[in-house]
Amino acid sequence: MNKKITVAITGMNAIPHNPGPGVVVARCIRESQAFKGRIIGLAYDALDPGLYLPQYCDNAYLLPYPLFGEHAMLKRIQDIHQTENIDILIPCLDSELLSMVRIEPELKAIGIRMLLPTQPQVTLRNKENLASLAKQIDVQTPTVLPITQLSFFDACLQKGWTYPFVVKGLFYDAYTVHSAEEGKAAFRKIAGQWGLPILVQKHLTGEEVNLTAIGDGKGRLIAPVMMKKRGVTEKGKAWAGISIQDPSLLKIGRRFAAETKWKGPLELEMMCCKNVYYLIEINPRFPAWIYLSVGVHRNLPSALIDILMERELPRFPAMQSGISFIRYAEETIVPLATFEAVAIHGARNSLRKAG
Amino acid sequence: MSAASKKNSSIPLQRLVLTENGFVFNPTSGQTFTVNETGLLLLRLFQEQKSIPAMVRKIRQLYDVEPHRAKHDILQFTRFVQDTMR
Repeated sequence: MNKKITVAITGMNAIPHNPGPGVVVARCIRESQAFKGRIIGLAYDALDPGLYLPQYCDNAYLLPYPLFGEHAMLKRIQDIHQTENIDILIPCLDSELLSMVRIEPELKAIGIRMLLPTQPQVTLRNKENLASLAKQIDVQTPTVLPITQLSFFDACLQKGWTYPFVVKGLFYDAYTVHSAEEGKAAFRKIAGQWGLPILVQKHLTGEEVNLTAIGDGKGRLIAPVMMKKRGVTEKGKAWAGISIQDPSLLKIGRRFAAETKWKGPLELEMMCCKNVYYLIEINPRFPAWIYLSVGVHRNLPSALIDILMERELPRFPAMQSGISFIRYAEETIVPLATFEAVAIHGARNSLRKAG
Repeated sequence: MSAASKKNSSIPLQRLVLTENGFVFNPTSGQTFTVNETGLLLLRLFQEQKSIPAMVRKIRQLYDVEPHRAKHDILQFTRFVQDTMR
C-alpha cells in the first residue's frame, strides 16, 4: 500500500483556448489507482478555474506572480507547506520554472520534492537557443530572428522575410501574420504582455507531431507518448489529437534525452514537412494534452510521483496508436463565499475532505 | 539535409490499420482516411504482398474490366495511398 502523500501542482489556469496543464496533471494523478493522498492546486489568478475544482484539487492557493521574485514565491510555498505538508511539487508553467529550479534546494530542505531540469538545461531549450540545440540533436529548425523594432515589418521583405511568418513571445504566444499590419499588431500585443525581444520565425506548412515523456536525468526517456494534432485553436493549441507510433520522432526524443541528460517532464513540439522534422519548441513540463497518457495506459504524472517517491515504476504497455482526445470546455459554479476566500485570503480550503 | 531528421517515407503498408468499413489509420502519422470496397480489397492485397499481376487477376474476377485498365487503376491507387501517407 502506498503512503498517503500530498502533491501540489501549479498551472491551474485551464482557460479553454489555451489551457495551462495543471488541472489535467491533477486529473491524471486523481485517476491513478496507485495514488492515495491529497492534491493541492496552486494558481496565480483568482479566476483560474482549477482553484474551484474540488474533484481534482482538495485545497487550492494563490501564488505571487513570478515577476515578484523567487523570495516571494519561496515564502508563499513555505507558508502553504505549514498547512498542507506538501511532499511533491509539480510546476506546470514555463514562466515559473527557472524560479522553481533556483529555490529547489530550500524546498528540498523542508521535504518538498521536485523532478526538474538543471538551470543550464532550461536555458538550453530557450527559444533563442533552439537552433544550436537542434544542431546538437541533429534535427532541422525553422530560422528564428529576435527583433525589437516595429519597423522590421515594413522592411522585412528586403531582408528575405516574406509573409506569412510567425511572431512569437520569448515565453508565450505566437501568431501567424500575413502582412505588416498584422505583424505590428502581434508585436504590440506580445510585447505589451511579455516584453522584448519578439521572435520572428519562418512559417512551415506540415503536420504537427508532439512527444511527451519524463527524462530520468541520466539520458533515458521514460514512457514516451506521441501525438499528432488533429484540431487546433486560433493559437495553434491542440483541442483534438491522436496517439501515434512514429519511430523517427521517438529517435529524436531519445537523442534529446541522451544528449542533454534531461531531468523531469518534457514536451517536444515538432513539425513534419515533406518527411523532414523541424524542432519548433521544447517545453520543460507536461503539456496540456497529458491526459492522453492515461488514454494509452502510460500515466506520466503518476509515473513522476513514483520516481519522486523512489518507488518502482509500473510496467508500461507498448505504445498504443489510434487513441484520440477531444478537449471540451465546461463551467464550474463558484459560490460568492468561495470566490471571496480566494480573492481575499488567497486560499480555498476543505471543500473536499482530505482523502 | 540531416539524414537523422528525415522521416522514412517508405511506410510499410502492412502497418496500416484497416477496418471492415473501409476506415484506414496510419499509426505512424496519425492520418485517417476512408476507402471504398475496391480500395479496401486492394489494401488487403498489398498487405498480403500480392504482385500487381495477381491483383489484376483478383480484380478481374470481381469486375468486368480490361487487364490494362485494371493495372492502370491499381497503380494509380498505389500512388494515391503513398501520397496520402506522406
